[in-house]
Amino acid sequence: MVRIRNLHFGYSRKRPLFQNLDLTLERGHIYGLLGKNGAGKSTLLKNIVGLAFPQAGTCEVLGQPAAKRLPAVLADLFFLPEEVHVPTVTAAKFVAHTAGFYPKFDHDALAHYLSEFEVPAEAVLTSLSYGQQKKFMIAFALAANTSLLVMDEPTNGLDIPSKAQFRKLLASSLTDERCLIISTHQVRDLESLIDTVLVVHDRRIVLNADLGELAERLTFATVAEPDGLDLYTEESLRGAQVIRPNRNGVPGRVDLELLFNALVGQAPALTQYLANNQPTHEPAL
Amino acid sequence: MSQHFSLSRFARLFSKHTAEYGGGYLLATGVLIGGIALVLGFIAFMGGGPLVPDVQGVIFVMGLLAAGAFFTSTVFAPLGDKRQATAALMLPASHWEKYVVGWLYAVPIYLAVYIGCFFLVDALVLQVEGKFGPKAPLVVLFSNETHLYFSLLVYLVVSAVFLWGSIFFVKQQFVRTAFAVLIIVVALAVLNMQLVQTLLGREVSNAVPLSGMSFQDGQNWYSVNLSPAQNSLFMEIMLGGLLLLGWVGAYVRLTEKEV
Repeated sequence: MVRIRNLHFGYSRKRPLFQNLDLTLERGHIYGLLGKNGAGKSTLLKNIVGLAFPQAGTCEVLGQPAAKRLPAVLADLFFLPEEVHVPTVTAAKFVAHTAGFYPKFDHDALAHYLSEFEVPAEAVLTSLSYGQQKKFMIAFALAANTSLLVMDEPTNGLDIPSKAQFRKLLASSLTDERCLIISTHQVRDLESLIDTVLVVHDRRIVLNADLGELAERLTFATVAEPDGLDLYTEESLRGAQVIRPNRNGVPGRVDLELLFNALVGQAPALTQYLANNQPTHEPAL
Repeated sequence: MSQHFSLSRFARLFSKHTAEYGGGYLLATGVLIGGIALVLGFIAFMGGGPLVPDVQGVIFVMGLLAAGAFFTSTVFAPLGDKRQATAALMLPASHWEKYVVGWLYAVPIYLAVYIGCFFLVDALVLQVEGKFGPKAPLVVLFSNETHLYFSLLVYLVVSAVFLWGSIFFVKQQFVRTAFAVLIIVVALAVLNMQLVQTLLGREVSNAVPLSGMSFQDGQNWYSVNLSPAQNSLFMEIMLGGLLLLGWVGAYVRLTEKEV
């Protein structure tokens, strides 16, 4: 679906954002892309969809170079940016003039999504609030039914009930034929939604792991006193939050926020542990 | 389906563009009609005489070029805005189809609308003017006496340059393109003067870029020029080259556009 090899990219040659970045994304997954502000999440997504061009290396989507922006690829790819643009037409008119570009567009699904989000179809899009505009575009993106759906900070601007609706609709829209990539810096928004976590940090992907596998290999807990065998420790008001090897093999809940903090902070024990216990897919650390 | 051009996909794109920008274009057409009426009306009723075809022709050409340059600057200007650029570039249509939609609005549609509006307003003004005094004839666009239609060819070149500017610059496209043209013309004039003086080894009075020059030797003035036929051919080649450069440059820039 997405195949990136030796990607070099930076807005300035002197300060590259990515160096020798490799990444393969497959159908049937919801990928959560995490990273600090300025780490390059949006830039990586732009490279994937063809809005930014690699300085070196290759970035292929659906078997074609993303930078070519071929209509056949674009018809099976939908990119929802963090800040959406809507024209000064009604939602119905927008759909009438745009849905035809997407061969698998599902009008019934759109009606359902708009109903769930409570977005009026006859309203002029620019007269809607920003949150409503974003919900409309999310509904349109899901209804486009493209094989690849890329969303950059989709929950920004949504109220709390809408975030829950978003998670529900997104989870229901995943099929074996689709690949969903969602970037966010609000880690909590993605918990219970994604099945694979990608962490971009320090010009590379530092984690590309299945959440189920992580749950089998790691234990996340809050303890009174950390011990010397913990892979990562973080002080909190409730005690010490720790990441430990999962000794009993019973999968628990993955604390994405703690894991993220560990990966972008100094946690050599954790990185060493994950590197020595490589799962079957690539590239984890 | 072709990845370069598909008629059905192009028709869909043109229809979408028209639906989303049609309101703005209609508003702009209203402003254009108002502007033409204001200028023609002012000159007709304050000029103290009939609005002769020569004056109509001058106003036609000035309006054509000024309004056209301004309008063309807006054609790809949305690509300067990241949100709009993302929506436009991600739409499943080829670069060529997106370019042709912009080009159609910048050239044939604009020309049709401008010419229609101008002659409609001009005829009305002359009609009204005729009620108060002698009535002047309407200027003829395709006349071998005035050659007013040459201005359409000049418009193609001006439009090509501003079309390129509309996608090359990310904001204030009209002002920046006009300023860039001014800088290039001045730089060309200065460099041409220096080059000619270096080649001749003497000072020259004037040397128009890509044209003739004159200089004084004692009490005698000398002027060096191409023959009218050669000059005409040279101008055609130069303007044709500029036209292609603008159109091709705008297309290439569209394919290279990043957000």
